[in-house]
Amino acid sequence: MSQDPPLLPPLALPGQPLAQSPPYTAGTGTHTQNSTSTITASIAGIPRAHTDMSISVTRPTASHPHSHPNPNPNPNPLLLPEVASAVLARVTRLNPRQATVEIFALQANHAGAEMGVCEHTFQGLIRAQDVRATERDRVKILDCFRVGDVVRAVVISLGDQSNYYLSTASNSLGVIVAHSDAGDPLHPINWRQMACARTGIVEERKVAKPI
Amino acid sequence: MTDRRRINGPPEGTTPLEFLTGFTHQSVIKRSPTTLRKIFLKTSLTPPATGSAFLELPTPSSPSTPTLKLTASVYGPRPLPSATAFSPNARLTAELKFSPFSTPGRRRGYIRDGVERDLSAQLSLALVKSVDVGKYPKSAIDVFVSVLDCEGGLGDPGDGKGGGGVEVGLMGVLAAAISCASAAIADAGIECFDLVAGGVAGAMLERDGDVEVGRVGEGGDSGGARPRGEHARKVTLVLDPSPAGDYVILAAAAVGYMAAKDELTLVWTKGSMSPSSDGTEETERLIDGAIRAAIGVRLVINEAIKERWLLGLNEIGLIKEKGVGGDGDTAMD
Repeated sequence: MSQDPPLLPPLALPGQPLAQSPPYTAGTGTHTQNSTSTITASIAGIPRAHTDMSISVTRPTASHPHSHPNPNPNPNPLLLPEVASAVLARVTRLNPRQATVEIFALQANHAGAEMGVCEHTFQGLIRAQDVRATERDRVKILDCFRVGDVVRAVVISLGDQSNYYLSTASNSLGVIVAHSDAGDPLHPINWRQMACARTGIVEERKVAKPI
Repeated sequence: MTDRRRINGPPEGTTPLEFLTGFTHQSVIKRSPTTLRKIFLKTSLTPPATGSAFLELPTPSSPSTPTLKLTASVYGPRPLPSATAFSPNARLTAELKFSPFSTPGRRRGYIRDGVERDLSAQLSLALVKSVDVGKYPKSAIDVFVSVLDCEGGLGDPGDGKGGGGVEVGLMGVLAAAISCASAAIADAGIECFDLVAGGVAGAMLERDGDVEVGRVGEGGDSGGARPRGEHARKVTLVLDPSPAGDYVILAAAAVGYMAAKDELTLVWTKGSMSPSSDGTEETERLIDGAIRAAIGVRLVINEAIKERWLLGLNEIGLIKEKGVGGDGDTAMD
């Protein structure tokens, strides 16, 4: 952003050449045209040259510049889970081998990306062997998640036709919001247990380390 | 084929209202054969869609001018339905639909017919090459184009204009649909290699009572009919031919053209070439004309996207570049 050696237009349109590829690299919103090795804009937006010699094209806001009031807080229709992106997901179904979740927010894995709410939810799967990093063959799914929990996880694979495969095998990953059987909110007491402040009841979860 | 699930109008038995000004009696403004008609294009008009555009051709000078009106809306990328197989790329589907009231003088059925299916297939073919489908795995991008008004007939049996020649109405609809859908894709912010613009060119024989198949003449930069040989009277290349125009088109070509990459995504030709040669030269000349038309349309798409952007920047109070629109202004020829 500091120096601006390639003369970038104030507004780039798809297909517009921006810079030559050898000195510069293609960032978000751009692609490199194979035949001429020219960095070309892929979306309409404001082109920027970064200090790491990458060129990106961004839209001014994450949301679409619609004039109508949006009910949701800026759902981004263009957010897609990719491998290694961090997601927030809600548990929808449990069976002894896996937990089915729906991904409702995710953070793209390029630098500086923020967690964004998806316009559509994506179905994900946390298999028993992906729940934690140790003793992965002794995981009991029912002692790790309950339906309705909100889980922080990482995408490990685009998965099969209908599911993204997620993993919670890290200290910072796991259940972040949970409710007891009675419906009271639970708070974490250690990495595998959560307790209810009102009744003192303790339930088992794979708990994410509070930030 | 009747549609039993919806309330249809009576199949027969009512007489249509007659208005004083019919579309057929409108005088079409004279223009030179190489001048494109004025296009109205605006994006982001369908709020629920990710991106959308509206196109009107030509910009009407009076309310009764016959025009081609269509809207395109883009939804996605959204998750594929769970029954479909895994795909590492986005699946782009395009659907073109004529409104029942779109054709003058005759109501269309609601059910998808062969013409719509054909145009939809060609539209998705023309668009899929431009979209960076590899960026959106396991997702679907759906493009819906709805034709609200087609200025003339579509060459259906029954609304015949007579006089021979080929009907360019469908080609005009397809070219406009390509341009409009591409503007909608850009409006949605879906990554694409380039924008596709549609263009049509035709070999025109001016209607002087004596219709005969002649050779496709020199496309006139001069703009006039250029006689060429004995049998080639008054055959000239016309860009963006109007189906309401008072001339006979002997052959026509429609293209989808990506101007920045200089690539064609779709070529559609029809009509008869001269019987003496194999027609290669004429076809090339027609396609070149259609490309020239597409380049003109591309400028309009660029301007429409820029215009929408400036509006969006104004709304969120982010406008800081002073000369964003100034240097990009292009004039339509």
